[in-house]
Amino acid sequence: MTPPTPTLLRPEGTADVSRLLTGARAVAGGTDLLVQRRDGLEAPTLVDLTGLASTRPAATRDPGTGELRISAVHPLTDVAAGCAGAFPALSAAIEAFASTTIRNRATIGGNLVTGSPAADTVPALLAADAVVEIVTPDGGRRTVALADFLLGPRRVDLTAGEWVTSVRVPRPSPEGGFRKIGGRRAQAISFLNLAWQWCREPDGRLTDVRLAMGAVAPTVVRLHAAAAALEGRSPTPDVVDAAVAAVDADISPIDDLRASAHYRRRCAAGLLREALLPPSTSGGPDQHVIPTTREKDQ
Amino acid sequence: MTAPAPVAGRPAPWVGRSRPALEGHDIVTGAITYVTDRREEGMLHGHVLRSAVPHARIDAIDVSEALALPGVRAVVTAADVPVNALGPRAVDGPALADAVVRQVGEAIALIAATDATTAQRAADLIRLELTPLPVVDGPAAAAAAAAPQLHASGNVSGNIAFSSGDVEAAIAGAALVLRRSVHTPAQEHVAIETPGGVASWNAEEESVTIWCGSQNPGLHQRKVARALDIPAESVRMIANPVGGAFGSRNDDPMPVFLALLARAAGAPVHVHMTREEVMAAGAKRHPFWTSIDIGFAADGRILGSSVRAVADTGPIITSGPNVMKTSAEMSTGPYGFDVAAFDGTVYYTNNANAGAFRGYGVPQVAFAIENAITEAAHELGLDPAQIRLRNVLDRGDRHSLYRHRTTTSLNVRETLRTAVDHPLWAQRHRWQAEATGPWRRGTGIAVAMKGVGMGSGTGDTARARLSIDDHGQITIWAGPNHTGQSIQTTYGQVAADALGLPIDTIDVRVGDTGAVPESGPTAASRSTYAGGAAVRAACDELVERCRGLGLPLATDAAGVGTKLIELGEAEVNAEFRLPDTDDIGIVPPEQLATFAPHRVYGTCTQVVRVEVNALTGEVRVPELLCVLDCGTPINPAATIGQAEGGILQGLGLAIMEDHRVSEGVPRTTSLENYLVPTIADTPRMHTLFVEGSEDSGPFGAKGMSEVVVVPTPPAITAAIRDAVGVLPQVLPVTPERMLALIEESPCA
Ligand SMILES: Cc1cc2nc3c(=O)[nH]c(=O)nc-3n(C[C@H](O)[C@H](O)[C@H](O)COP(=O)(O)OP(=O)(O)OC[C@H]3O[C@@H](n4cnc5c(N)ncnc54)[C@H](O)[C@@H]3O)c2cc1C
Repeated sequence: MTPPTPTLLRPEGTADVSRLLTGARAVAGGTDLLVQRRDGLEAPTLVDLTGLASTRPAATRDPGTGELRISAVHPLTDVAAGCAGAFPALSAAIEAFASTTIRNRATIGGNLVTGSPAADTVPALLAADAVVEIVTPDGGRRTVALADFLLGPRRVDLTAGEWVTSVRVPRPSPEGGFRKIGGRRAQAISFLNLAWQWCREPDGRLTDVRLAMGAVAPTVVRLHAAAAALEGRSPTPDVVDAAVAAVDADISPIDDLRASAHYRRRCAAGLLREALLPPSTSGGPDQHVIPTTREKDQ
Repeated sequence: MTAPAPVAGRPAPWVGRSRPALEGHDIVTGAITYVTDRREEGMLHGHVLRSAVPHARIDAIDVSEALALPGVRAVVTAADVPVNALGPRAVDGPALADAVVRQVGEAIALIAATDATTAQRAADLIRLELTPLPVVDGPAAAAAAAAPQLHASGNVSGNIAFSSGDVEAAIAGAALVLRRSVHTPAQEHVAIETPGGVASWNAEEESVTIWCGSQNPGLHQRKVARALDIPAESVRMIANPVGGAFGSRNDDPMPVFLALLARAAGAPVHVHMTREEVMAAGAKRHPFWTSIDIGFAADGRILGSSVRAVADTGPIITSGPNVMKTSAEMSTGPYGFDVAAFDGTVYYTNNANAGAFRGYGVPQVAFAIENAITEAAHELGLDPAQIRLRNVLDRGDRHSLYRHRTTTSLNVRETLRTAVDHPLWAQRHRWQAEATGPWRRGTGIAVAMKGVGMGSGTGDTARARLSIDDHGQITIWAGPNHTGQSIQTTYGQVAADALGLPIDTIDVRVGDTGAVPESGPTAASRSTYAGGAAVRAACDELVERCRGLGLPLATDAAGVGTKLIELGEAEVNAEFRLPDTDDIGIVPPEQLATFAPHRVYGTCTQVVRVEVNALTGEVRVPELLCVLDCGTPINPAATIGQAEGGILQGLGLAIMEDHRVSEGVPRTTSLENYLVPTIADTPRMHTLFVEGSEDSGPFGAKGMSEVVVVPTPPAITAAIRDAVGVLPQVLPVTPERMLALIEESPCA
């Protein structure tokens, strides 16, 4: 049963948020919060963060260090545009996220704070060693590595009155990607997902390999062992086999309504193997070769 | 297709021309008032208290606190229902649970209050004392010797068995015998508008008007009259506009709930179920466990087949045995062979109630037979289209199980030939060879046939009433009702051509028991065929009457209308009785209605391309061809719309939809965890019509809106077989099931 209509507060600017958040709860796109309210979550007062988006860019890139600073309150559609190809794994994750309508509302802040192990933007951010920038109730700032921010299912390192303003990502690799497996091809919670990034040296070796996987553990996790098996090596069949075999060590999937632990383990291996296929053969979008005859029929 | 040729001096024909749905503009602009959008002066809001447990004895229900809540106007429990029954038999179930609850979601009490939140709060205040009973969690549990009996008549809801000979003898010397078992899941209709509407009670007349979706307004009228113990004439059902049905508005008790609440509250009451309520309480497609023993000669000819099916109908009968009746008839697919047998049993359980759903028992058995033919083609080294062409029934052939005569418009062969010539099939090898990475490609083909109407011996009849006024305006009241397919648009096209009058002078009304003569359900692919034929009969009679009187209807409709009114001849009533088969074969005459074999069938061949990811088990369906044998497509765009919608329901059943219940408790509780195809899952679809005409149908039309669901799942599994060498026998083929099959397969 939907609880009574909440009070919605709209802060004037960033400085205003902490004051309003006392005894209240942040809302951005509302694509998680409204669902949770329907399921009985009590949130009588909401502070709408979406207005802050007009006060700053969705993403900025430090020309010197290459660091990306991504707004936590912009819709994902704007984030993808703002990253302008600088963060391929995140862009791929956003492309696979829900649907256009949801992407036009949902934010990175919401995706992080919801704390779902299946959240689709998290693997790319975790693989890239993202740092979460938090505004404290006194208006101060603190930062925490995303790896430390994620505490467990629906649990993150955020205390009452705090909110997430942005995410900093040290120069993401130009080669990276994301794949999710869901029960259908849009509007689906991931059975599991994988983000990767690495540098491909001129001799074909992969360096700075980072892998992160979702929905296979209480939080999104890094695949450290698999990454180590690849680091500094060319993805030859033996190397790929070793990396794929190492995935098991870093995941601890469970059975749930969406998929069994066994499937998650098998598919986790498959997803990494697929990611390591030569770039030109990984499949790509559907191809329609037959022109439609529908118009003719009518 | 057979669109009538233009005749000089007459308006261009409408039959065969695509005409947008009359209400299309209102739908896309949001102007339409669906039954659940309706608001009445002084209207109250209703809520249904539902069981949270699958099986329990009701020891006490205390509504006193709920009644005392300010704003609550009525609370109705079983004790307040004059005749607490949804039908004439105990197995039809009560309107509201009395002694026992037998399903999660079963209605226990109805509340009307000044607002929906108060009604909901009142429901929470109703005190239930329940004693849990052991749960019958599936057909196996229902059949067990010590099983709790869910009805006085036991746990068997129905059995249908028939045989045309000794199948084991017929297949004894076969080149190939396959003995296979398949499973198809419970499927939810997911009509966009969830059940609900408004009822208004007239205390003086003791009558009720109900605005609520229904596929069978006449049946719902009788159900309401029974429960309220008032004459049927005192119940008026206004059953549209409504946002979809697909079978779900056949067995829906909502009109009864609305009427009970309106009577108890003495005011109009509005109820609108949530999606979560529908997921738990709404009827589903029957889950089936189907086995087939089938033998083939070396050239692919079928020598005999025996199909056994078990279905779970949940706690009440709804459509259970009738669904199994259709399964029986279609257990031989669109194929002609000498010896066939069927034995199907429907069980009562404490699982989700199952009822009517587009295809009505056919997708379940068709999956068994089509999968077997796909496998046989591989085993015998035959082309999967050729083995089907070798076996299909031809026009007027005798049916394999009942040996009755089929219609001469039966044109399965042409649908197959057309499909085989299409590039989607012809270029399948090239397309497969172009696969990249882990995505393997395959193309599959499947064929289906489904009877139109209720079948021989049932007296199936549709009716139409027509009147002409002094402006020459025609009004036609006809059934079956509109449940989303815009049947009134099609009736208008039939009428315009039959009368030779401009289409905008014809107003068609459907779905109101106050005005439309009893025409049976929007079901069994019968609306265009039966309703269209009744409209045509009414129009023909008017034309004939005018001719007899020498009145120039086509050129002076207003004058003719004026004259007919003077003569008291301005109204026409007509009916169309669906013809039985010419020859009932080996069906015992006294059991004709028990088996209800059809004369008229719609048929369909589909070719589908799939891509299977060998590393993850994902299945995607980029493109699909549907070739239809539906006689004349009266409104081609609407027909294609029906085809495409049906294909998507078939695709959902094939690869994602699965209403899961364990220990009697639904696990798929909302559209977050019960997945249906989205536009991103939708293949590019091509729909083609084969030339043909059904003599008994309006302008040569016959039904098609169910048969389109049927070939999609087996065509998809055949395509999977072509792509990765394994043939799934359990639906839906989720990524998990697919990957397990690939990894278990010896050639993986
Ligand atoms: C139809 C549908 C499809 C979906 N598909 C996907 C999908 O494919 N992948 C996926 O990962 N998720 C999906 N989701 C879930 C959801 O869209 C995402 O988690 C989204 O990123 C949430 O962002 P939001 O801005 O809407 O969060 P909100 O709903 O506004 O907030 C979610 C939570 O975060 C808190 N919060 C929000 N912003 C901040 C902030 N800046 N600082 C502190 N706290 C904050 C809120 O208080 C609340 O607790 C889907 C949801 C729906 C309804």
